[in-house]
Amino acid sequence: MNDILVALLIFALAAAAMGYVLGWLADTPHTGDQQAALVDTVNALLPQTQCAQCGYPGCRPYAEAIINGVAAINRCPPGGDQTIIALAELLGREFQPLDATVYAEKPPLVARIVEAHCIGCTLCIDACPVDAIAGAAKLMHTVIAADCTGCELCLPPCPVDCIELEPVVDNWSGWSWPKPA
Amino acid sequence: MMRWLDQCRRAKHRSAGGQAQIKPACRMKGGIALSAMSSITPVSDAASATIIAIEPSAIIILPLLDYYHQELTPMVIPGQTVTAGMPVASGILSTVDGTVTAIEGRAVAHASGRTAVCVVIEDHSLAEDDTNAALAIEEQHDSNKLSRQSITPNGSLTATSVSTSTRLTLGNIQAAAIHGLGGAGFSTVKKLSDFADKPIQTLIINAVECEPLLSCDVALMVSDAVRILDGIRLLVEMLACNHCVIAIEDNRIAAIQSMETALKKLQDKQGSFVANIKLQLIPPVYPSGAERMLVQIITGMDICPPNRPANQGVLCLNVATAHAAWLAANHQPMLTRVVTIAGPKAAQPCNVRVKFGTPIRHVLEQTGNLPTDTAVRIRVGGPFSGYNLLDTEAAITATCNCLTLDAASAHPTAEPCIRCGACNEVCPVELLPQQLLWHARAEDLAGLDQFNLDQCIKCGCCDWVCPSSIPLTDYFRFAQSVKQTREYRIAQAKLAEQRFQQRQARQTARKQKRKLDIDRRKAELRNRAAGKTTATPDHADQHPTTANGTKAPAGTATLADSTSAQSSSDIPPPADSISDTLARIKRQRSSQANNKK
Repeated sequence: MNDILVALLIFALAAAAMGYVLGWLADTPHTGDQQAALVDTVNALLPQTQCAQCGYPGCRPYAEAIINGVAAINRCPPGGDQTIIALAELLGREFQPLDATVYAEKPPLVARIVEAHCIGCTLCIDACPVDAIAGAAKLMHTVIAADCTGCELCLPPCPVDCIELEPVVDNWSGWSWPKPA
Repeated sequence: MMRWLDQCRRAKHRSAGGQAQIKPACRMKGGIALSAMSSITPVSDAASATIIAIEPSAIIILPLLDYYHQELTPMVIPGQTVTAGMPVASGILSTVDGTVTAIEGRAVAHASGRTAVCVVIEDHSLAEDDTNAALAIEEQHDSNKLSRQSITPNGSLTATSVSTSTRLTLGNIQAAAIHGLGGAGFSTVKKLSDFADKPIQTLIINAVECEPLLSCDVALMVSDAVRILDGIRLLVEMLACNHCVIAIEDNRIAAIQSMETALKKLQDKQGSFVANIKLQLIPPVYPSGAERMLVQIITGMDICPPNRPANQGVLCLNVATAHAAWLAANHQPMLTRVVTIAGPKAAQPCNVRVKFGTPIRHVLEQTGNLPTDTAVRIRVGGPFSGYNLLDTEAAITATCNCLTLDAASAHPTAEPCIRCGACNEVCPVELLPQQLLWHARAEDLAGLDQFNLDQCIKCGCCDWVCPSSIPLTDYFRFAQSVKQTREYRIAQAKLAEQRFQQRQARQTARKQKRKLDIDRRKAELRNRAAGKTTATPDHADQHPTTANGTKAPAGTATLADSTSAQSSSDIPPPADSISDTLARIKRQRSSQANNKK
């Protein structure tokens, strides 16, 4: 009787130990390389607007925060549900709707400077994370629409509120065939 | 019975033709033989043999879009007077003498039914002889007949005898703004200039209609074979290619006869040269007219995109493009094309020469084909690969080779796929449409890549044979555009990230430089101050011992000398006031005096 108990105990302990080790191995990548590769993959899924709406200064810092388990996967408003689904699939996490405390999901936007009101202060040029604003001190600025990610970071610094956000003009290359019914 | 007659005619022609025909190098895999298409009745030989001319339209609408649907910048302004052949944008010529009335959004011939920015031109020639035009129209209404005029391939061409022009250059083709007239509308200049450095051995002239219903190329060959052959001769000379193959379907008897006669004539004129130009009859199997398929049939090489035939020394041009090349060599721009009007609901099936920019409604009206009831569906292109036209005000472009009028019956509802595999057998590029379908429905891009969706030429053969009436090609078009959109977004994101990283690098570099600047400035000030303090005793006293150790050459201390400045900080700190300095000098002097003693 005693022997049976001892055997059971040994097997139970061994199973627990192995389970723990396997769980630990499966949980997170442990080498720096693996981690960096995973950050790259997550970063590639993010829309690269560098808008900081997630609370991190850029897309890569947010990707790092996701991999480190600090941030949730539902904090990217420009990416929307599509990005959350892709992240959930990649990381094996549960799908969560977009965090309402961050921002609402918006259609793709592009900034436009009302040129009549622009005073040429260059503050928006400093704020633009992707160098999409051209201009110089005391000269009129303009947004390079093709480069603008619609991150809204140029809005707060403008002293005369001359920047407007408009939905992206649907150009011909953006048209796609409808899905057959 | 009809098929038997057709075969007899073909056999008769073969024996009568005399010229030994080379066998095609290869048979196309898959495809649909014409004999299997009972529901498609091509325009009759008689109708297809003539090209009718129509009254010009009062307005011409030229969409400012290129082959890739990128918007072009107009080179004219509203109110400007233009002449026929004058460019209104890069690669787009005005087709009439007139005035630009507007540059605005208009419906264009595209599956989306979207509007695009177009140059709208009012035709002057109509305004000038207003009465004449009105009379002509009245006359036409009275007789209620189609004005089947004698064949004039181009309105401006009246010469009956073809003067053999000497040379054709890329400049000619560019000036004439030639686009491929097969149906894709790729710029011929680009096609030729992309491979200007590659030797072309074989020139294939595609005289195979791109769909069985079409006869616009046949009509052109019947009416103007001499000019076509001369155009081919010029192209062969320009490309310096070894031989040229003109591929024609073997059921287009009239075209074959016309081309053979013209070839013989040319042979009599300049015999040695024409030995290189051969007619090649191929079986009428759809889609033999597709460039990739035709190159495969003629040369036996299957050239998959993104590789292009010219990389293998083969160039494929449409027969109408060769005709346009002849015009270009004679300094005539490409302003018109032949359009087939056909289909079960077409009142007067015909081939008509139309100026680019003519509204489709006008073409249909003039030929007596404008449908009166809404049950008629107008398609641009043939029944296989065409698309439904949503607005008849859209204009004819280089890609509009056919207007098909058929019953607007709703597409039969798609039944589930029964995995019969019929689509696999007909696919000319040997894809597995039934596999692709699942991935397209799921928008699974990895799966679509695995099954080579990119290779699909969207010929519509799989739709034709599907017993469950699944619109497979529509799914593939949809999947391709999903893929393109996603790739575009990823590319944009990558660019944005790159710019962000560059900006960050620039900012850190700027910060570091500023820090260095500040450090240098500090060191400079410190040095200057130090220099002052040591320089004063220097000037006051020329004793050699004072120079030792403490003397820093004032003024020559460089900005980068921050370390040496720091090391020499054991010298007295900068003086606060002149009185302090004077006091220190006095002290030093007294100590020196003591040392002397």
